[in-house]
Amino acid sequence: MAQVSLRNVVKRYELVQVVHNINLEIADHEFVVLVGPSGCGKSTTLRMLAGLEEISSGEIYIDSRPVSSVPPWNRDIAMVFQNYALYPHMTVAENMGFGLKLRHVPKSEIQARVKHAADILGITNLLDRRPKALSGGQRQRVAMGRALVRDPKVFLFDEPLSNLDAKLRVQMRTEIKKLHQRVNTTTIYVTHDQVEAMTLADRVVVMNGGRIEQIGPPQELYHAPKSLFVAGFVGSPGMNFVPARVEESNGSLYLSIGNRCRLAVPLARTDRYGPFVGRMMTFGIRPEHISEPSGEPQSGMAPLELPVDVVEPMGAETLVHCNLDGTTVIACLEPSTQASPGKPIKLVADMNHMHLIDPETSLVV
Amino acid sequence: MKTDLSHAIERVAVTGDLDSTAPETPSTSIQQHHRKPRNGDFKRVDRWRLIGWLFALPGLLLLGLTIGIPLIYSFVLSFSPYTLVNQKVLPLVGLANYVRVLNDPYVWHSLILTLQYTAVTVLAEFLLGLGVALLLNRVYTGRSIYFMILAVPLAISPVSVGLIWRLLLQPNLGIVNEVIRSLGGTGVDWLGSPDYAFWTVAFIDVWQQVSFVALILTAGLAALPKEPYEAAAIDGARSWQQFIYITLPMLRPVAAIVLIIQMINEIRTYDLIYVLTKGGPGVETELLSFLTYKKAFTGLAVNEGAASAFVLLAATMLLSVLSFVLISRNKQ
Repeated sequence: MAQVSLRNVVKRYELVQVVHNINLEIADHEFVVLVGPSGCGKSTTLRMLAGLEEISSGEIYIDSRPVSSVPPWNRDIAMVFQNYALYPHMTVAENMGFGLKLRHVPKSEIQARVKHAADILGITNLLDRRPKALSGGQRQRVAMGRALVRDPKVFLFDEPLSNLDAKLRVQMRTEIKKLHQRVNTTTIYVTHDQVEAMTLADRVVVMNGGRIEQIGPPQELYHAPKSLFVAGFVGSPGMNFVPARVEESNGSLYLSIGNRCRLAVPLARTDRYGPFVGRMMTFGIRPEHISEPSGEPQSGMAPLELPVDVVEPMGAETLVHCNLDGTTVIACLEPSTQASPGKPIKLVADMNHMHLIDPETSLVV
Repeated sequence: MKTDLSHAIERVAVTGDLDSTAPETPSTSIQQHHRKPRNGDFKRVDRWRLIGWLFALPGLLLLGLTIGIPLIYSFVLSFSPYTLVNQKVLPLVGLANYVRVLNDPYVWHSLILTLQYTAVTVLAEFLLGLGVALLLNRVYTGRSIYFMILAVPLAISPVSVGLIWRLLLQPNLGIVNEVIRSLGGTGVDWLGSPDYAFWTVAFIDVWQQVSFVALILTAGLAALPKEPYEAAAIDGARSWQQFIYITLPMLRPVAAIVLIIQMINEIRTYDLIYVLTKGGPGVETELLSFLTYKKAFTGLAVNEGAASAFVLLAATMLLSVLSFVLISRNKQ
């Protein structure tokens, strides 16, 4: 088990720079998820850590030891690949024991460790099979078993669940979390699925365009995103963004959307948003912070009446797509809602959870 | 309305079932699939099969004329008293020709020589071809130029290859001896000396055939998935261990095919011998296919030539079948 640190790591392919100055400190035992859309540089970063890609500049440390010039086989890491990367000509047991065999571990010990890992992952009955005779989920378990038997300093996961169907993905996600709780090895996990990132990580690193947008625990990213990108990327369904002008009237601030809609900004935020009075900003609010009014109006709740476009019952909740001055706004309502397409619906926005984004910098203010 | 035939074609396409071709609607297909065939069905089956045979007939006739008849005729000749002096096929003489061939020490010499020749050339071609393929696998610029150069020997007919090398290796005027002499050595009679002839012929054969092995193995290497290599590197495998534990086992199916093709190719070597040495000096390079030719056309004993040709065919088939068995056992 080990700490991992990336300092000013850059990756360039000829003239194209795909990873820009990544700085990241990962503590011992920590589970860190790199998340971002396709092409954001997260997999490249992981592969540089594994030694499968050279770094163009900067340095990577595993347990304070610089490893940039250390080949993958000397880094003492284990990696689970998106497409499993099992050895097609070896049985499951041979696949799992290959790393130990190369390290000249005695046969009896290899057998014992493979058996132990297989027990943990529930694949003991598959040990004599070849990868070809396994399902996707079973192959992924074998790939994890191969990493597990090695007892490495760091586990690297490169989108390990992307090739599985939705149900199996959720199941395997839980198993990966359980596995980490059990073996507690420092883990770096790459995914484009923000739900995976949120559910698995101790800390999430959101990447975009080869840069780190924000690093923080899942709840912090959800409640206090620092940029438009993070605000939009984290959470499902995503945050609603509406262009709005900040206005002041009698010492209170309002967000003016189009000609008819005016939302009161909570007093607690007056100082924060004061400098932006008169400017067009982007107003952000999560679907779960828009609800139907119930009982007495509470402080910070701004009433809205919007025409309904689409109603999507999800079971535990119903998503209602409304039109706010030409922009679609999604509200996450109780399943008992009477909303129906074409009719207006009365809603309240919980402005205590609002975000205001400066469109010039794309940063949350 | 659909004809019976179009129904039958659809049915074969969907179920792969050639035997029951009764027309049916989709709603009743499951019931009808399991019912007993009636008399009418057999008529349709016969017609369907007949059409199949009609389509195959031109090809079969052509193959029969060019391969089947000569093969059968030479097989019959191998049991006959037929020579170029006594051109009678009948009465057949039983196994007499085979007995004579198998008691002939020259046949045994040629058979063993052929096996040695095959082993030497196939092994050399495979090792050199694999080496070239591994090097080519790392070439990223100008790859097509390498491929073009490699393809040249393959495009030349073995007779031309033999003639080119005969000129190069000519003891007095050939460029090879000229270079050796200019470096202070003494020239060698490459194709005329009993010490060198076998190895010289084998070398020329390898020179021509190694490109084929290299090209096929390069294609095989290029088709291997990259991920197991990355996984192996992370598992702790250095480059040479990746070659031993990943490349070789994954390349095995392609390698096996190449080995079998080359084995069959080499065991039948005839044209190179004809052009380069005519089996000489003495019988130092007299491979079985050349001996067969000699028996039939210079020894006039077509019957013994035919018998020896079938001994060669038996040896080739035996080796091929053995290789196939070995490969399929390894696969399991």
